[in-house]
Amino acid sequence: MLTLPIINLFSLPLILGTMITMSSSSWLMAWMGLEMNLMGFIPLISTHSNKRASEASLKYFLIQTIASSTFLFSFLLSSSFSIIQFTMMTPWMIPFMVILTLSVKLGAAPFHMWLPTVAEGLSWTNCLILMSWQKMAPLSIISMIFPKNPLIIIIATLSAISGSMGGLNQTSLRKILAFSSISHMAWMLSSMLISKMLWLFYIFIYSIIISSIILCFAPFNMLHINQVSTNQNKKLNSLITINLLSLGGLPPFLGFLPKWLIMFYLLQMNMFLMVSILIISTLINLYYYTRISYSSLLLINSNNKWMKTKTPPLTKQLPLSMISLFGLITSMLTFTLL
Amino acid sequence: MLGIFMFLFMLSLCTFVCSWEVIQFGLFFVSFLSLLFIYRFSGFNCFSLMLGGDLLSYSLFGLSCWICSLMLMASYKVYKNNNEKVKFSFLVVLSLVFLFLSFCCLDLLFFYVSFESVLIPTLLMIIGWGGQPERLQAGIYMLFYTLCASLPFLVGIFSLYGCEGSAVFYYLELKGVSMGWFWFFVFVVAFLVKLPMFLFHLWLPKAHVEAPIAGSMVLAGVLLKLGGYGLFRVLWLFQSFVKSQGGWLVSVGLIGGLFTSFICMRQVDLKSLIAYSSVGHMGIVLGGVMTLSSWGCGGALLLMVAHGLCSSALFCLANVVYERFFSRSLVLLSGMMSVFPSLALWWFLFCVFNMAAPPSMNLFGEISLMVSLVGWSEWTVVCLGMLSFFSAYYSLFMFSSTQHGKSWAVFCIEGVNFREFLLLLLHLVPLNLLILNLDLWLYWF
Repeated sequence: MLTLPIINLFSLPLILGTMITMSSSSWLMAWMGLEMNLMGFIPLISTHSNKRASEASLKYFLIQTIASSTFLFSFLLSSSFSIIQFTMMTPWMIPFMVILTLSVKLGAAPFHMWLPTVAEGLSWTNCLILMSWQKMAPLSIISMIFPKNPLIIIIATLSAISGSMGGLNQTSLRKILAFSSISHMAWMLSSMLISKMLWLFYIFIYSIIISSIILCFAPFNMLHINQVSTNQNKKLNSLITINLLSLGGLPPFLGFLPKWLIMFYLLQMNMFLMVSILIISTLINLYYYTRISYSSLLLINSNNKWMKTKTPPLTKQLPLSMISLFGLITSMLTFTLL
Repeated sequence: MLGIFMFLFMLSLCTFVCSWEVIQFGLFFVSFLSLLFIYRFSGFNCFSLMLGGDLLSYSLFGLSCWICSLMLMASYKVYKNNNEKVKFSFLVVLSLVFLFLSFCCLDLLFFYVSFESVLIPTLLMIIGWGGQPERLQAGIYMLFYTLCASLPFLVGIFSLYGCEGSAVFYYLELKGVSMGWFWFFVFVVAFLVKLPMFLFHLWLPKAHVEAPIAGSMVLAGVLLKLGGYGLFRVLWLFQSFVKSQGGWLVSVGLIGGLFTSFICMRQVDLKSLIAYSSVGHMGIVLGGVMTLSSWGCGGALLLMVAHGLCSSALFCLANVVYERFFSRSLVLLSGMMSVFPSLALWWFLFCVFNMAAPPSMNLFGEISLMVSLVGWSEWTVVCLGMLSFFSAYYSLFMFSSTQHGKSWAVFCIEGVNFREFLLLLLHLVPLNLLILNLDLWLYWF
């Protein structure tokens, strides 16, 4: 384990890289930001000195560098560094290449296979970064430049299907959350068809929910489904259940809100097939979320007499979970009061 | 309206602080308050924020308040054994809050959100306090069956919003919006599953068999009526389609009701028998609603309220017996008349009310539904006659096989206590007294 200052040192380029990418006006700067982001994240992965972590960091490094070198190559073909010019005058080939390379970096559908295996080797904190912050930079480039490219529809549909199907027979919690992040990616990509703000809203709420889930898993070292079911702390279990239902987008919880907006606007654009695929895949997602939370739903389950675990107060977990619990209800009430 | 909402909200917070009795008192108080709304003129009234309603919503809200307070009373065992009682009372009040929102909101989208939210307390109740391990399967089955049917409904609401710019009931009704036949299936299937219509009913007996008493009561008493309520609300969008093609659903409802009566006659599980009988009754309700006549709609509302009280009372009786004998099997539960002679009267009363015997509201509901259906087509007489005959048959079958015959109870059991008699009385009184004021329900629209 490394000490705190070094984590701080490497999280600086992690944050800065994404910022640079998001605010750049030239391709070269965008590419540089992505690389900085990568260079910040790799040391954070390998702070845990075990085989799994180093394997994951190597995998992550290989995938990301291949993707970003292809990214560099594809915009060099367009003979213009300016992002604004790019949108106006380029053959159809190059945007396709850029989108594909960015979807490799995101872990969206046809190129999603690396994401669960990498997530398996990470600690929970790094998983959180991988699933929320690392998506920001590539998504922002896609949304700035190609918001209505037909390729995005294909990628979104594929990632909805593969994210929901892939998570069905997993037992590792990190893999399940990785697959769920793939299918949430589908929602974010499809929200780009609508507006540039909606995906930001989605990823904001998604990060709230996923961080409250990971805050429940991380301190108790839960890595597999059976660790949730043998867990004795009932309050923690009910928090996990509610957050998972929120992640699955059941109505009274916050997770329904961004899905609601996206569904509404997609239907305005008459994209029925897209919406139905997204909804069905979300239902499948919800099924494997409920499987994680079976034990806490059951209330009465067998306890091992010899396992006396201390139950610390859930001060860290509660605030974020409260947001994901009551967010929708409070926002609906405020809207009615306005 | 807002006052009631605030009160319910405070009550749900009070569950963490106050004792069980206070919550019980609060629930009865809310059901008293809900009665104040019923004496109003017809049409939508009492608007505040996004809430409001007409007699249909007030009477169903009154029913749900009453059932929720009786739920808490029926699950005294949870309190006595301290089986997560705080969580339990919180869930009961929470389900009432969501029921209030879904019955008294004016917007289809708001309705959808609260309609789905009611599912969650019910699911937690079934899975958390149910008996067997199979409750997990039943709960998940219920959740996904309902979700799969109601998500297309959400899509339908969004496209309605897109076309009309609003999804408020009375606005749509005043404007005379009508939608194409395709949307009929999208809008109506969600409620047909919830109602449940025969063919979509498979989740109901499963959920009932595994649910604790409170779960069964809220399912049979209120949740099925939520489906009927939704049907009333969306059917105005499809008047022309229902007039030409609604016959299909009427026949599925009636013949399905007949089939479920056949299933009832061969049941050995008490709870599953009552569950199937409610599927049959809801089939007649569906038929009455689909005729779109004033007799049909009024009768449907009457039968929904009456059936909510009656089936909930039958589940209470089944639970009283289950808590003593630890069995719901009709084979084992014979000859109870010699064990609980005083309970035999209650069994008799609720069994005959289930077959729509005179002083109950069921009678008048069924009569008006029959009037509307026969007016719609004479051929329904065959089906209706058989339906009422067989409903009498299985109710009598339930009564005689539990009360008469040889008793297997050879061990010592606790007698029926005062609370349980009060519980049954509180089901009985509104069921029979409300028949004195039927004009209210028949002129509700």
